[in-house]
Formats: sequence, structure tokens, C-alpha cells
Amino acid sequence: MSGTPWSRIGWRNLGRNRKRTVLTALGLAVGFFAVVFIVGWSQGLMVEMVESATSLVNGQIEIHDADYRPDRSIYDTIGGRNGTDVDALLRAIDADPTVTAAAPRVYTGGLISSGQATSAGMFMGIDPVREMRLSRFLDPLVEGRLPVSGRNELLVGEEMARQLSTGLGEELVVVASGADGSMANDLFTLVGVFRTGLVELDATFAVMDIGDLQTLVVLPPERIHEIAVATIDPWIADATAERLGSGLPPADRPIEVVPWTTLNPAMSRVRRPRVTRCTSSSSSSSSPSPSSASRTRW
Amino acid sequence: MVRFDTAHGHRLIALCTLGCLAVWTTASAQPDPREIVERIDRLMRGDSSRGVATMQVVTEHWERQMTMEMWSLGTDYSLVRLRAPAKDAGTATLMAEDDIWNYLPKVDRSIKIPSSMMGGAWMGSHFTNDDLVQESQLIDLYEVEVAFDGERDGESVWELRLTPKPEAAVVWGHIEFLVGQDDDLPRWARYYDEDGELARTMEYSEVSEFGGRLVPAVMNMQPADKPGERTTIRYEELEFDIDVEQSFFSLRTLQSGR
Repeated sequence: MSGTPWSRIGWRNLGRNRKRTVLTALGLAVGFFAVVFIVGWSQGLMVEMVESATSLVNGQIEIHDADYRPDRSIYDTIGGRNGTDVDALLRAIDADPTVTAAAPRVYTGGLISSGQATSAGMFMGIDPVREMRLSRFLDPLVEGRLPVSGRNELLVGEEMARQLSTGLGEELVVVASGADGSMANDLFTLVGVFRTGLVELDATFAVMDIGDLQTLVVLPPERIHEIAVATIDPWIADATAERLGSGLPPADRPIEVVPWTTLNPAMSRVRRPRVTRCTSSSSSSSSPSPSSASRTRW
Repeated sequence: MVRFDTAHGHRLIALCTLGCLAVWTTASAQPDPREIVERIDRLMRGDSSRGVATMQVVTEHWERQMTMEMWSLGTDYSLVRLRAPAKDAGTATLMAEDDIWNYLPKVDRSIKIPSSMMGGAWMGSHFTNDDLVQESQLIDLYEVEVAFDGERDGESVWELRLTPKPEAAVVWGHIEFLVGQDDDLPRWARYYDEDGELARTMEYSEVSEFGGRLVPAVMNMQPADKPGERTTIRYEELEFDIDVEQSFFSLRTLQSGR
């Protein structure tokens, strides 16, 4: 501290009133710590929110027929009318080093009835083994177990089970529009109840084996609506999606590979934490939430 | 004090009579639009009816034909049962007042359509569940006015405009009906959404005699946004004022599969 006269004066001043110096230093330290802590805390929360929202049901990347969104018609299956080689597609996706899981899905809307009550539902056909590696909403279940292929078993959300006044082991009538125009209907046994915490999901979703749902609505095994993909880090989903999009096996119809940042524009304003961006990202902390994410999803 | 002389009085009476006559003639030239709708409904439905019809549904993805038998009583009760194709035979719909039940023979269960699904397609067609219920209650749900009265394409017609009553829970912004004045039969109905855009058109054609009445044998429903799609209902048999009790329109009949 032997530079200019001004810095010498300053340095001496610090020593002349030690109490003032300590108080000022302490004030600055506490202030800086508080700012760093709050920014870190809020960004950690947001990252957690993104991770929990994308891993709950949706996954971080969705692969569809290019026309599937937003109408989600039963006919817009990957690869079009003739479908696609699902196994080959899954192998190609699994081969990407950043992909941790990929799961095929079939969706259709319909009615589900317990006899006393009937509700409108969204049926989701899953491959239980692949699905468990990707999404969290079926693990743990409130009660029961996962569906076994070929036995017409299904799971419903906790709220739907309540509305239908039904319980494990009971038979439910499932009605949907078949892809051939017929009134698809069959009996399914309730084997499990799940809870996502999102009322709109817990009240409308029914999950069954993918093959059983395809049989019900007269879709052949090669016709699926979606492959959901999880990556090692949600923040690289954009890059992974781009890579997957250019590396998929050729199909009859264009396939779209969409990262969660496109599916949930509201949530995508949250970015990988960077201190220089603290103001802009903390201002967006009010918009993303698991429920708004699921609303844009369905 | 005013005093009428006789001549003056007579003239006044004549004037009154003329006036009344004028009012009366305009009234008869401008028929009550609600009465027209009621008349059409009575003609096409009768107090009760039984019929057999084929329904052809053409969509972008598939095409199928169904044969169905139907019964109705008044405006509140009807029962429709599919006879063909074999895969769906026995499937039935019961409409009782505002409720719709479907019977599914494969699982031998009846399920009530929840109100949230009343806008959904009926049996995969371009008709909705609401159509079954509301088509018979137009008078209660809509205000009717005559929008056009005169000649069109060489025929005297009324064009009726139906606008929903404020409290009515309906999906259409308004409906237009073209009705022939000679036979009281509808020619077409156009359904508009709340933005005033045409949503679908129903055409009535091939007026034929059924049970001593002349009614259109073919109804063709065409959604405006999908020009390649349609649902066509063609009556094969139709009889009116049949012997049927209200108790027939029950869940028991629905499940019996008759």
C-alpha cells in the first residue's frame, strides 16, 4: 500500500477508526453473501422446477409425426398411415450418448366408466419397462402395480379413481373411437392408482399397456404417437433434439423432434443459471410451474 | 259535448273494419315462425315413430356404413339400435329427456354420456350427442324469425333464422333453415359458430312417402372445414304414431338388446 498519496490516506483512514472499518466490511460481506445466496437459491429452485416438470411425465424431448401437434389426432402416428419400425427408431435414439431413456407412447381420448359414474379421459399406452426409466409419475404408485401386457389392465389417477368411486381389482368400461371408425370398447381391470399432484392429470389420465391400447383402438403395433426422451441434463435437450432430428432413420412422413424449451415456451425462459443474467431469470420465476407446464402439454 | 251524426258514425265503423281487415291479412301473410318449426317437427317426427335407416360415414381416414333401427316418442324420448355391421350390432343409444345412455353389447354395459362429452361424435358420425337431444328442442332453445319469405329457385320458401335464447346452453351462434312453403319440409339447415362462420350444412332430399306422409328420405351432414367428409342418413322404413309406451324408453329395453 505504498502507491499514490491518495491510497496511503485511504489505508491510514481504515486504521484510524477500526470500529467503523469492521462495521463497513461486515455490512458489505453480509450484503454480498445475501445477494449471492438469494440468486443461487432462486435459480436452483427454477432448475429443480424444470427438471421435475420435464421428468414427471413429458420427458425433455418429444418425437412426433410433424402434424401431430397441436390437434393430437389419433391418425397422425409417427411415419404416417403405415407407421414405423418402432424398435429401430428406439435403437437409433438410445444410441445417442446424451440420451438416458426413450419410451414409446400411444394416446387417445375416450370415456371410462365404473357403472356408477363415467368420465372423459385421456388414455395413454406405455411400455412399462421403458417408461419407468423415463418418467417419475408411476413410481411410486399410490397403490397397486404396473399393467401387464395382454391382460387389459389399467391405472388411473387418484382423482379419477375418486370420481369413479372405484378401487383396485374392479372392472372399468373403456370406450374410444377406433382408428377404423368403430366404437372401440372393452373391459379393463384397475390394477393401480397414481398421483402426480397435478389435478388435471390425476383426474383425466388412464394408463395402460401400449399393445392393449393399440388393440382397443385398432392400431397396428407399428403405429405410435410419441417417443418421449430423457437426457442427462435438461439444458442440453435443444442440442440433443437437433442431433436426433438429423440422425433418425428415414420415414414416409416428416418427423418432428421437439425439446421441452419449445413445448413449454413459458418455462423455457428459465435458462441455465448465469450470475450476469440474475435479473432477467428471477423475473421469470413466477411463470414456470409444473401445472402450467402440463397445461400447455395437454 | 261532441255529437256524432249517423253518416259520420258509419264512416268510422267502415274505417275500423278496413283497418282490422288490413291487420288480419298481414298477420296471415306473415306466419308465426315458431309455428312453422313446430309443424316441421310434427310432420317429420309424429307423436311417435319407428324407422330403419342406413348411415354412411365418410371421413378422411375411413368410410363405413351402419344400419340402425330407431324409435321415438314425443320430443323427449328416442332409442337407436345398430343392426349392422356385425362388429357393432346391438350397440344402442337411449335418449331420455336430456340424458344419453349408450349400451355396449361387447361388454354388456350401459354408460351414461357425461355432460362434458355431449359435444362428442355420435357413433363416429358427424352428428354429436347434443344433436340427438337438442334437435328435438329447437323451439325451447332458440328464438325463431322469418329472415326471407318469397320465391327462390322457382319455389316459395321461408328462410328461418334461429338465434339461441340468452339462457340456452347451445354450441351454435345461429342456425338458418330453408323451408318449402308448399310442403312445410326443410330443404337445408346451416349451422354457424359463434363467430358467424359456417360450421356445417345439413341437406334434406329425396322426398318420399312413409306412413302416409311425405318426408325427406335422405339427410346429408357436411362439415364446412372438411369438404371430403360427410354423414348420410337414408330412411329405408319409417312409420308414424306407432303403439309405443314411455316405459319402452328405459335402461331395461336398452340393455335387452331387442
